Amino acid sequence: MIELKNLERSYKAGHMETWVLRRINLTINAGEFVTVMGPSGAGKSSLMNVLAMLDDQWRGEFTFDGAAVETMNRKQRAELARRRIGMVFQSYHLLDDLTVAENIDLPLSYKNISKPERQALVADTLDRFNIVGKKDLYPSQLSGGQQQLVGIARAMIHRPSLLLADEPTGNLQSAQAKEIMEMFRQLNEEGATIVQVTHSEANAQYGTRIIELRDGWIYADSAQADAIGREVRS
Amino acid sequence: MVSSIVQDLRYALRQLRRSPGFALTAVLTLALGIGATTAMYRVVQGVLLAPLPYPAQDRLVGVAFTFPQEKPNDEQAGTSASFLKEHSRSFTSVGISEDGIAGVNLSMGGGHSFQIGSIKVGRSYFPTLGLQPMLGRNFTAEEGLPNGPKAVLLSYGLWKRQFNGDVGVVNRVVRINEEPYTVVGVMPPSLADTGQSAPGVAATVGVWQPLQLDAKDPGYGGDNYKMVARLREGVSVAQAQQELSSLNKPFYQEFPNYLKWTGRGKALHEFRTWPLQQVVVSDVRTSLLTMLAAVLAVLLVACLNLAVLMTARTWRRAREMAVRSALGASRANLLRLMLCESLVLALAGGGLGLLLSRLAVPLLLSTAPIAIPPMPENEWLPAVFALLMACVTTLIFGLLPGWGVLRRNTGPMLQGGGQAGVTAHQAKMGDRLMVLQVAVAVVLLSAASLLLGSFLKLRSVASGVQANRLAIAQVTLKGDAYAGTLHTNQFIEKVMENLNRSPGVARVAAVNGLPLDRGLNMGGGPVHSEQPQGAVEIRAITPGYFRTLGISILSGRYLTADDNAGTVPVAFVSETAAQHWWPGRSAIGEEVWAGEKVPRRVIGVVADTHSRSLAQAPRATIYEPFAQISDSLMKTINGWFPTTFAIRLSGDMDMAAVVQRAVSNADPEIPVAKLTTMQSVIDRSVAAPRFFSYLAGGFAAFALLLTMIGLFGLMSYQVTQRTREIGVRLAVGADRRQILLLILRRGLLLTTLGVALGSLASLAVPRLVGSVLADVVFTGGGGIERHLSSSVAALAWAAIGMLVAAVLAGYLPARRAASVEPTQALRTE
Ligand SMILES: Nc1ncnc2c1ncn2[C@@H]1O[C@H](COP(=O)(O)OP(=O)(O)O)[C@@H](O)[C@H]1O
Ligand SMILES: [Mg+2]
Repeated sequence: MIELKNLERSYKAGHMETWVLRRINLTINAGEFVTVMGPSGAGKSSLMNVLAMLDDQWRGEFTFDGAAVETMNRKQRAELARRRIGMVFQSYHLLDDLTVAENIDLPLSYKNISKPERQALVADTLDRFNIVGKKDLYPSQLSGGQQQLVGIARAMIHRPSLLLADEPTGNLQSAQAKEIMEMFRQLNEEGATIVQVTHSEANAQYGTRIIELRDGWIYADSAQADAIGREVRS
Repeated sequence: MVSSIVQDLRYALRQLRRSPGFALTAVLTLALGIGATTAMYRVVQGVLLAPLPYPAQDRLVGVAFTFPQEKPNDEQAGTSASFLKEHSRSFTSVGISEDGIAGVNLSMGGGHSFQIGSIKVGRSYFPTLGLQPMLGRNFTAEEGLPNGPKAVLLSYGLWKRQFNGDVGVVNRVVRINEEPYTVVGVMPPSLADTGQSAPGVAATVGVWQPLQLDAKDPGYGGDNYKMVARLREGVSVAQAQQELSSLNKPFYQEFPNYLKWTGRGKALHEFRTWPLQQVVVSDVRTSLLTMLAAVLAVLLVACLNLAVLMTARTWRRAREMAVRSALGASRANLLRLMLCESLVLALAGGGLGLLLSRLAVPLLLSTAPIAIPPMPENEWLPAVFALLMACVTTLIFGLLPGWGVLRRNTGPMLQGGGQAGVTAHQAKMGDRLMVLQVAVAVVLLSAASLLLGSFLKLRSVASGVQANRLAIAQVTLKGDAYAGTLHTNQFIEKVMENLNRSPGVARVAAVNGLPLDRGLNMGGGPVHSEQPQGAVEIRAITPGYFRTLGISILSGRYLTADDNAGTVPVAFVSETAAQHWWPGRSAIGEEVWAGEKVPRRVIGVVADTHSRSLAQAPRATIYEPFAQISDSLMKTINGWFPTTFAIRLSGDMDMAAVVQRAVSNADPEIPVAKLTTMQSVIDRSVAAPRFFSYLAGGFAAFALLLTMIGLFGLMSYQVTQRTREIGVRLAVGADRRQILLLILRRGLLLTTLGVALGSLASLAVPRLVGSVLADVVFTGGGGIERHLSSSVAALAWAAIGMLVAAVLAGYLPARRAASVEPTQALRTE
């Protein structure tokens, strides 16, 4: 589903160029549940942004379902992401002034979907994530776990094939984190490809494959037979 | 306490130095706002509020014979003035004067002559005001009589300018209108020497001449006079009014012909009295108060604009406030800190504004084409006013944004990091202030647009004259020398001959009573008609007048030199007159009365012109040849109105020299009183509406600019505040155009709310604009309403202008929002 070849990303600050992703070669197949781990500053979020097509300042090759992303313009990438990718954030990033239902509806509002269809989709999704009772509440009225559930619902409403989650449980207590991870497992079983970033070994166990980044390099990949010296820090 | 305020002030200064753009915008807008307001206050204070410079001025009243709905005035007919003088018991003294300043030709010691303003006053006029000549004496009783000694009193200004302040001027003889007059005295500088030569036309008095009301004077029956009176001890204005009202009935019994002087709704003239102060300012009162209201509205926009910018600033400083409050600052401490900054700005703006106002007042007085009475200078009142304005503005733009900080629970801000700056309450405050600002600006815009539309509408009225390449030269033919037809005609013919000989002159004609200038109107009309005789405009012309001015002859023949004193008296009538008097049939061959003992035969009908103002409907007009006018009518028109030479040019030439030579060749003692073009005569007739529309346009443009600055500031801060939200929206699929529209829409929403609110407030605008225009545009009895342009269109323009401005102001912030990088916006530290 995803193929990265020699993908590189750097930030320029003045004359200094700092590399955050270095010659990344990575293949992720449909249906995988990949966990990205690594110390803080290793480039995990940068990688997620590339996969989410939020970032387009990288060099190298990025093939998504056979389509070469590096040849697409900004608009085409956005269009592709809008259809195929959903994203979940550590700090949820719900909009404070919108209700739960409205937050979930947000991605649909940027698509050409009729109003009744949208309402039906929102109702389905609320139902599916068990938050029908919360639909008229505002994010500030929910617990962190509930907020992240809404975040996942929002990411999944248009049934993307790829779900990206950057430290989705980073702000949650372990009980709530467990619930979220169960939800991911369920989504994965239903067919979604998932890439998550986490510091937690327990969370990583839900996945099918672990990739470790260090200083922008892929340091280890459990899908590779010769993965050695793995060390997890949190 | 004091030291902590000083500390706050120092801190405020440091804060402002850190954002010089904001500080400069704030000080400049406040300086302009407070400057304009203080300037208007200076004028209003000096003109409307200051007492008249006469002893016991509160006992002085103006007494009028006027329609009941008129505003304060002191107009009188000779008849009514004499009647009051004889019968009223409320006054210790009554003074009569002519109602306008007239041009006279003055020459001293054989030098060349020039035109000055003169006004005739009764012997008791100055004593009534409580004034005495500073040199010499008042007029004697004989000096007022028709054949009495000829005497003048000089104005202080003329004495200083033309006589070098010579104290030996008393008893010197000067020539006025070619006749010797004795200078009997000089009036003190406190006596106003400015007035009006016609409604709305300012003029300066050079000399006062004696006036003795005489029933035989040609203007005696009309309202050509003014009356001031001094109330008797213990008599109030109301009591005097009561007595005057009781005199209406006896007056109409004695002079029943005034029952014909009916206005709209058959109202009759009545005797009325007002404090003289109110009478003096009544022509400019509405204009001045409206201008004051307009500048206050501009200042309000400036304040609201600053309040919006300050609100945005306080958001940025919310964290600092939270720290201070956590360190034990009370709400009062915080408020003081915030007010300090506003106060520094307001005082700087106010001081600069006070200086600006000193420059603005002379500018206003010299450019305003309305006759603003002279005003005493006062320094400390405007200073107090400017300080007061500075304080009031501080309260508005300092306190409103500060309010939000006071009401906020500052706790979460310290924990919440960067994002949590704005509470909903604060955001709402910024929005509300913005809406209010837009609303006030819309009112200003719609007023300006209505004024401008009305001015353009008025200017587009056809004058009836072909004005291009038409020069205008005026002379005043007064005094005994020109009291008859023969001499007047000889002079006119000689000047025309001289002008005709000059290269570059295609055609010349003379007229007494140029269109859009003043001219004689009196009773007249058709000889054979059922309709009662009304007032008609009477114009004396030379052959070729219509052709020279480009007025078409609709039917009949030309006037020729053969239509002279020895042949049948002839006349032209205007189209309006012909249609009114002989509807459905030809006017040629009919007979008209035109102010003389013999009727005239109509030989032609000509197109209408506007006699006094473009806003006045064309009036019934009778034209008659100079050569056929009786001596007595000639004396009257020469005594009241200048004679105009209209010169159609075919080439370039030195007009001034040519006209000067032509006139002094005909009579060396006659100066050219005015040399101009027909176009500028037309332009001057709409100068006041133009002035007000440009002024209002300036105010509105300023308000619009401020509103754009405010919107830009507010939107910029809101975009900063919403960066994360924008990132989220982009991350879940919004494209950049949608983000651009999201921000623009928000600006437009605020603007639309403001426009709606402003539209409601603008419902009062047409009346306000109408009342200003009514004061400066002569409609001749017709209402001002039909001269206003469409108020719906004005409002539509204002709304469109404001919305376009909102899009422009919001575009940059919206562009910035659209270029937010989601990866940056969503980063969590
Ligand atoms: N916008 C940016 N500008 C400059 N440097 C950045 C930016 N974003 C991230 N970085 C740097 O890139 C490196 C990787 O960051 P990130 O991908 O967020 O790491 P992680 O998510 O693994 O903690 C860090 O050193 C970080 O400081
Ligand atoms: Mg990260």
